[in-house]
Amino acid sequence: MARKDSLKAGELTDTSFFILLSLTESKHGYLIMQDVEKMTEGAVSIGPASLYTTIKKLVAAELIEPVPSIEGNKKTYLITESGKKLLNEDIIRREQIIRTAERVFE
Amino acid sequence: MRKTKYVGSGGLAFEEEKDMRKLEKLAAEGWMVERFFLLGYILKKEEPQHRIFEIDYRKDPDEEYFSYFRGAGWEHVTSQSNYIHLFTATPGTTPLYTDTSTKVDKYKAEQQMTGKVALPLLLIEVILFVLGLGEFSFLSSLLSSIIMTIAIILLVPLVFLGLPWIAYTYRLIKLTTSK
Repeated sequence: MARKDSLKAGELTDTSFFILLSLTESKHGYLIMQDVEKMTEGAVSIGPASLYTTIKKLVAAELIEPVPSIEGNKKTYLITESGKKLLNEDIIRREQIIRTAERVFE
Repeated sequence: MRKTKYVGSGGLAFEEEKDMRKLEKLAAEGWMVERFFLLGYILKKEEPQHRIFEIDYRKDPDEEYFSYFRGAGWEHVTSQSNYIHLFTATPGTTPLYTDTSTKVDKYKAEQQMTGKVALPLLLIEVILFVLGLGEFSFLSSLLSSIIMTIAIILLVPLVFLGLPWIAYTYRLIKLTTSK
């Protein structure tokens, strides 16, 4: 239950994080999987069921939205303003975690 | 002549992974799953092939849903009641679920669906058994035996929904505490 509401708590799961990052440029849902693999140099893969579930959640939370697509009937998505805001906050949160870890390790 | 055979399922709520490994083993032996049938699967004779299998639950999925699976290399084999979907891929393909959060969603939906019926049914059963066995003076013996008959008949759906509910609950506990 708690995990499901992590969006409301303003914290992104890694899957949501990478989907939002990928959707800073609009694209077809199924292309997100390839895009995330490419941007992480193969370190992160998102499975299709995880992708579909997470996209539905991000749309419901209005962090991404379907946009009119040029080609065919495949749904295209784009990050919203509140999605960008949350993504930026989460980047800062993740940076702080890394900075803390680096400080402790030094 | 087309050769087909039937294999039983261990029950997806209890043995989803074991079922999928069984289908994988059978495909390697040349028996490819074709569709769900009763409490199991119909297989047809084909060339032996290395395939892996996974199950997903989704009510009336749209074309977008299947396009993601295709895009990821998962081929749709068959569906039951437009709700239980069986997919196959070559070994090494990224699994359907890659994070705990969405995997929890998958089983949570199943748990809620079975629980919605199983838990009220359990309550009704308790009441019926108390009434039927309690030898209350306000119930005639005929009425008591009718109540007991209903209670015993209702045990069937209770077991069929209650046991999966317990299985899903157990899965969810394992998923949410394993981290």
